Amino acid sequence: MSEGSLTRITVTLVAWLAIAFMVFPVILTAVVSLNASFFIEFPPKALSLQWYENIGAIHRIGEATLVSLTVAVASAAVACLLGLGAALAIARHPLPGKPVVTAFLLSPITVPMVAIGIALVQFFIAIGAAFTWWSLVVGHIVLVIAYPVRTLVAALTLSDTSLEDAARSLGASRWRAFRTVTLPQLKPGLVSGFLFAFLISFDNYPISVFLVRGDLTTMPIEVFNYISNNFDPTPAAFSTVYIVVVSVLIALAEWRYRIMSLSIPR
Amino acid sequence: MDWGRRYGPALLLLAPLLGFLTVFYIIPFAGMVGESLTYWSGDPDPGTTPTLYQYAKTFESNRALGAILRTFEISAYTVVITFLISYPIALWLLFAGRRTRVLVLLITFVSLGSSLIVRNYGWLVVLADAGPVNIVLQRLGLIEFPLRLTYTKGAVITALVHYAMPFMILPIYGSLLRIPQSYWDASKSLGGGDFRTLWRIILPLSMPGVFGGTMLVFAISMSAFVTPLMLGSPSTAMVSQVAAEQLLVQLNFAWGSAIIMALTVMTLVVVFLYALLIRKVFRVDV
Amino acid sequence: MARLELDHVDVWLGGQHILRDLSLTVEEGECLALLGPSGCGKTTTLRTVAGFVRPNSGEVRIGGQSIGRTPPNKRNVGIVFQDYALFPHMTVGQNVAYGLEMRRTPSGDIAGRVRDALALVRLEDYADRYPAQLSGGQKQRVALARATVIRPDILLLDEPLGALDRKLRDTMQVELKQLQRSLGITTIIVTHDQEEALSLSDRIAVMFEGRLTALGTPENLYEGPPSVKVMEFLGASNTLEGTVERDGETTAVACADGIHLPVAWSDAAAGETVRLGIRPEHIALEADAGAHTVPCTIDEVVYKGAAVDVFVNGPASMRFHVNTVPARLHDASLSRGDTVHLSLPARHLIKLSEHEGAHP
Repeated sequence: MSEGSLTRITVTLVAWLAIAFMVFPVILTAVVSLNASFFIEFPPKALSLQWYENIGAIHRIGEATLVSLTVAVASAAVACLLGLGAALAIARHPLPGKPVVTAFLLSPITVPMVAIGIALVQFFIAIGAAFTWWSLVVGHIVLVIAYPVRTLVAALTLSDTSLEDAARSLGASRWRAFRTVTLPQLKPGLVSGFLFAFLISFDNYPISVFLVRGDLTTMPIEVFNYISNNFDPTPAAFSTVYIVVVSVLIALAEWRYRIMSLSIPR
Repeated sequence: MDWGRRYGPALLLLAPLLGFLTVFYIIPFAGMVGESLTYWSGDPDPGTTPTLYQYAKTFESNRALGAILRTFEISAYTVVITFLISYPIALWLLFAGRRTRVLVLLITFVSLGSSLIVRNYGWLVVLADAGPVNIVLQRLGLIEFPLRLTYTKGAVITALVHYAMPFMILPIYGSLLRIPQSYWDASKSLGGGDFRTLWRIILPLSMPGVFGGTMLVFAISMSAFVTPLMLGSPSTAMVSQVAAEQLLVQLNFAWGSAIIMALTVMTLVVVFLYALLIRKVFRVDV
Repeated sequence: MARLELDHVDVWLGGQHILRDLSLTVEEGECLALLGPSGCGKTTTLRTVAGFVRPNSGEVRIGGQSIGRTPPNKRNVGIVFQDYALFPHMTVGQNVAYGLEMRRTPSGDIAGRVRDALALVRLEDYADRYPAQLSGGQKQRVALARATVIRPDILLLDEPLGALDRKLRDTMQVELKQLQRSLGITTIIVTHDQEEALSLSDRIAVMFEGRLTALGTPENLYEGPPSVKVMEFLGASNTLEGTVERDGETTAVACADGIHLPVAWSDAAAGETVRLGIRPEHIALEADAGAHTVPCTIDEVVYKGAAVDVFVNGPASMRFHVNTVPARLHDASLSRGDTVHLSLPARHLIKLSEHEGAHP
């Protein structure tokens, strides 16, 4: 677009406003988290780190976070493994009804999460495995499976099939060619698939709320309950920590593996 | 050619995931459909014939029907607003400098990856009675007393738009990236100004991304659960909430299953019809 | 180094008959070009030799040994891919060493052989660079080094110069030919560029729609193509139709408007309709009419530097493409709109078959 044209100015203006809209609640939360007062007030009269210290006061936050972490790692890892096979089948092999299979694998994104939760809790009750760590992991695999499938198909589509042929013609067996040539090409796809699967699982509430009971609880559930019952700015401190950690993780993954271009659908 | 030799490798690679999804996705859904076709959970007589009683009840109950209509309304607002503010961002990313582009993309991805509960909490703060929006309005003298902004339909839509933006920006940006620079130049050289180039050339060519984005955002807002729970009130309840309530509070599994199945089917039907319409009218593959 | 034989090979891919009864022999140390338009099956032929495609029937033999069921990694075949397929996460040195590692060459030998292979393509100082840091010509030379360092029985080049710009192409053509000759490897070059095929190979195999339609040395095929299609594919050409006339020892072809063209061949019966072909550079432009010349008007003159293309309109809406040196036009002071007389030498008038012969 030409510099200084009315259209370009309008687009730029709206874009900046929209970006501000995206960032505004995050920045505000960070400001509130540093506010000394119990009540939310603007601008803050005095600063303090007490709400950060108070994060520990969220009910069972330690063990809930541990459960969320292990569930997220396990489900993201299994999803990446299962997704890798499926992505290879989709991107590299002839398959009848490929669009239907692909649409089915990506469908958990479109289906209401609460539906997945309700369906699974009844299923697990029926087979007598409800409210266990394992059932939670299974539910989260269904939840996140579409993410690694999508990034790995993208990575496989970008990577050149003639690389594998070249390795084969130079004497590498099928498995060796895959391990030494194809897999290194897939690293960005694996990293971004794992990262987003992990983050989606770690944050999930709508499925977990049906699959936990009694001793088993997850971090989002405890934080949600705290927000519902308390009005102090502790969740603001928690939110700020959360967003900083996620930002660092994503920035690192982008810097090291250029994950962003893979996750832009084309 | 031999069928097994041709498709064998693909089926072998797909088998673990398809097996997993059959057991833990298809069968549970089938079970839920079965449950939704009974009169009451744990019906003492297992031989009863399937009935649409729960579905009829769904569309007769004021609460459930109200939630369905409200869910469609909120989703429509969310899709339109999200599109209107996301397209300029995607467009602007095209001609922004490298550093700002990477920064804004990072913001988008962090937004995508950071907790929904955390982001909704941010909106609780922003829209609070003593929050910045009310304070600014009061300072400007537009209002005397703080407006009730939280726990309203508007708050739910605002937070849903915020949640949905990355899902709209990325596909649109992706499809804009595929349009060669020469198309812009060609349109300009033929006398099209920026606006007409945008309207006649760029917008139609970016339609695959627009369709992908709007479809995803529609599905996301139709199934919204946490957001209306945190920022809405019982009078603004959406379908997922009403269904969850039946399961978690009323322990009426049959009706809860029927309500959520109704939502799932309606969402998929709308998405399917939308995709069909796009294929027919715009000849775009989605 | 070994002789390669394709024996009645048929390949079906995705329900399509890609290679139809293909038989072809490449002699030891020979360089054969597979030439044809895209989709003619030449790349499939290459992939069949490499082992990526298994023939549905027929046999592939290297050095007399049938290798139809041998997987690609057990065949000793080096390939230079069209896009080079250099492994982006490995350095140039690691790329070249890869094939040796797969063959469990002692690590002490690997370093030396990698160095020699890189020296051969004049890239000895580039071993530690990554492919992304190389120019197109350098990538191509690394790909050559990687494919030849394993001392393959057969070397396959898939459109080796396709991705290079014109100037680089010319220098690489010379380099490639010298390298192939000095290594003496049996080589197949797949190309759709007739110039590349003519200049690089000992023999050319022309393929259309999965069939081998012509086979011969570059000179033979260029000067005496068997069919219209082969003639047109191998370079610029003129074709015309006429009836055979025999008068004792001499044969001539009568075209429209009473033009009689004596020809050098005699294997046709009087009255038979034939199609004639002649290359633009074999037609002479004369200022004055002579025996058997065709009167024409110059329609367009395209200056090409060393040569000039002249397009002329003849009688009965005949149109000829003549290639000559600029001095020829200049000396006779001919220009657009002038009348010229074309002389078509008998020995350059080729009799072409209308359809593709089954097997040459």
